[in-house]
Amino acid sequence: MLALPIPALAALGGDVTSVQADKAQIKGTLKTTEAEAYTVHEITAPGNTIVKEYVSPAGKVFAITWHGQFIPNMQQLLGTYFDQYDQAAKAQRESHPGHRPVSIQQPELVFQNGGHMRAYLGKAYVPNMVPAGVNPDALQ
Amino acid sequence: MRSFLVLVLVGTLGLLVGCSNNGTPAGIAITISLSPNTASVNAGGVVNVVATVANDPSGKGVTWTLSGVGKLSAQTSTSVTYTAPATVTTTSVATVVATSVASTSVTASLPITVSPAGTVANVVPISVNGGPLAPATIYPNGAFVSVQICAPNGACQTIDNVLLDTGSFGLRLLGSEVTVPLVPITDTSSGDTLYDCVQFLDNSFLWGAVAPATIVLGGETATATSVQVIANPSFPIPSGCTGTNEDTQSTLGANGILGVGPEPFDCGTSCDPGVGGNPPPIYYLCSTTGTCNATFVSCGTLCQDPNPNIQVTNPVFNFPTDNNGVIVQFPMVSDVAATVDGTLTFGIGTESNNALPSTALVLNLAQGDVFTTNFATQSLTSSFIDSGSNGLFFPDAALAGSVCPGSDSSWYCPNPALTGLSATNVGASGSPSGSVTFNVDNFETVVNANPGDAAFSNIAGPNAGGFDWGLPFFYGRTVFTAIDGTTVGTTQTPFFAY
Repeated sequence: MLALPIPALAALGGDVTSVQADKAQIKGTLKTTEAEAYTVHEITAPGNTIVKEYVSPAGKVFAITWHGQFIPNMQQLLGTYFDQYDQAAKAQRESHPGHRPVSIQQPELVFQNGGHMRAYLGKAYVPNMVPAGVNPDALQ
Repeated sequence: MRSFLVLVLVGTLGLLVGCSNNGTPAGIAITISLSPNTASVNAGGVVNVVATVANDPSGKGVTWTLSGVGKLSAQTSTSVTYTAPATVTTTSVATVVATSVASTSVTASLPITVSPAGTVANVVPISVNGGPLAPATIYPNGAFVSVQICAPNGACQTIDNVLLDTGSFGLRLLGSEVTVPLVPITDTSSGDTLYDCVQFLDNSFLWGAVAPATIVLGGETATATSVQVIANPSFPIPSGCTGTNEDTQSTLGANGILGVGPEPFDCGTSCDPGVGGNPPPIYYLCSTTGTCNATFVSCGTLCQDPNPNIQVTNPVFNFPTDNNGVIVQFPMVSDVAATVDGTLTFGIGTESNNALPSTALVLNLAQGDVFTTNFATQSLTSSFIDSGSNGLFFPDAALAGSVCPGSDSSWYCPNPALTGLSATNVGASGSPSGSVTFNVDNFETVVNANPGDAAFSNIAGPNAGGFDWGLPFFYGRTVFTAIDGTTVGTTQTPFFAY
């Protein structure tokens, strides 16, 4: 049985090379800026949805943020962390019905997604991969 | 200089001497103005009334009395909620009277015309009633409405328990609830069917064909309006539409979603062919064998597209009249209520019952229909009002340690509950502004302690960016949502107001 085409290269937690895979999958344009503790790779997807991937000096994607008209493809962006996100979100839906922003705070994954139709924003990061001196809650 | 001081003293003495025994300065008359100053409702309808008292140094405000049918509740010195009887047989007038506490001879009155159900064409009832799965499973803080749809062959049906959502645009219905023969839109050359994908924030989505329908809400009718018919197809859903399909009553918690937010279309110019480039992962054309390709879809004249709009469309925008927005009204909920009934009114400033009061705070909006909320040293520039969010959601470093455990981690569980928090809402342009006070209950305590109840005014949770003023914000308020591209007097649209 064939599964859905899951990308071979993960994004969150993955190597810097995975940024190129995300860019191709999202059909976006890429811009890179250097900051002191990390490098930011900014991908603009159709519909002006902006995805920023934060790469540590060790060459790992430790955080991702997004904002714009659409929710980007989380399976692509979260990579190996996707299942953790999927299961936590599922448990929340089954706990109480209702539509609302989602917030997941686990030792290996922090995830927040908010906004409304045509204007979403959110972030995901791996706490133990965040470089020293970087406040992940301040990343936008 | 001296003469000025003397004058001031004399003036003060004069004031004291002239003071009557009830604390009212003589010669400066107390005045009361009521907002709204006229109202008409159907049976069961709700009117939130606010009194503005001028020249009342006692600050004691007013007391409220009612003559005629209905009842008053949630009385304060400046506000009251009027609720019309559930049924009336003939149109009658009830009068709400505000009497100054400081000077009981000063009154102001508001006549409210109460008509039998369905008489006032632009008002329909809404209810926070737990939703279609109640009482077994309660949908907390979901406002539900009944919607009538008609197929091209003229067959009509009414679908109840549709979630009222000012945070989305367009009507989406579970295919399992649709019994009339809606006909999906197909591409004229290939014969492929048009589908729509809506991603939710929690890794769930809605997938379904786009079909035109006639949508009837109260006495208002939107014809040839694209709706999404939610159903799992016989082929794999394209990978751009990811997560869990909410295609059943038990997963969606509703029979559909009525999106009446401040935009006409669910996608707009980003999905119109005029934008160029690659189509976003929203609309797809799918062959009968299940080959799906993302596609552009016209949103018509408003998007400078000569082709007619066939995007999923806010039905209010397609009404012939009363089409510039909606008003949502609920009475106050004191912490918890089993159910709460309110009204959805169509149009703003188009009828005698939907005026935008001069006292309303009108929040102009930036791209994405957001304004700014200043809260706890944060300037949250992506804030919005959304009846489809079932709590208040905002970032707060002070509450970061009070997130509920486990599968409730999208809610705050402070212990003890927090009261008297304050935030300021500011128009996106920098003005006007007004403060809002709110409380945060311990979600698990209050929800678990009240298992049969559907309305919670003090439940809240974390959020990534802005302040998401969900349904609790609507309790005790009259909230206006004006649609982008329409006209509301001289007030720029879109806006939220209350």
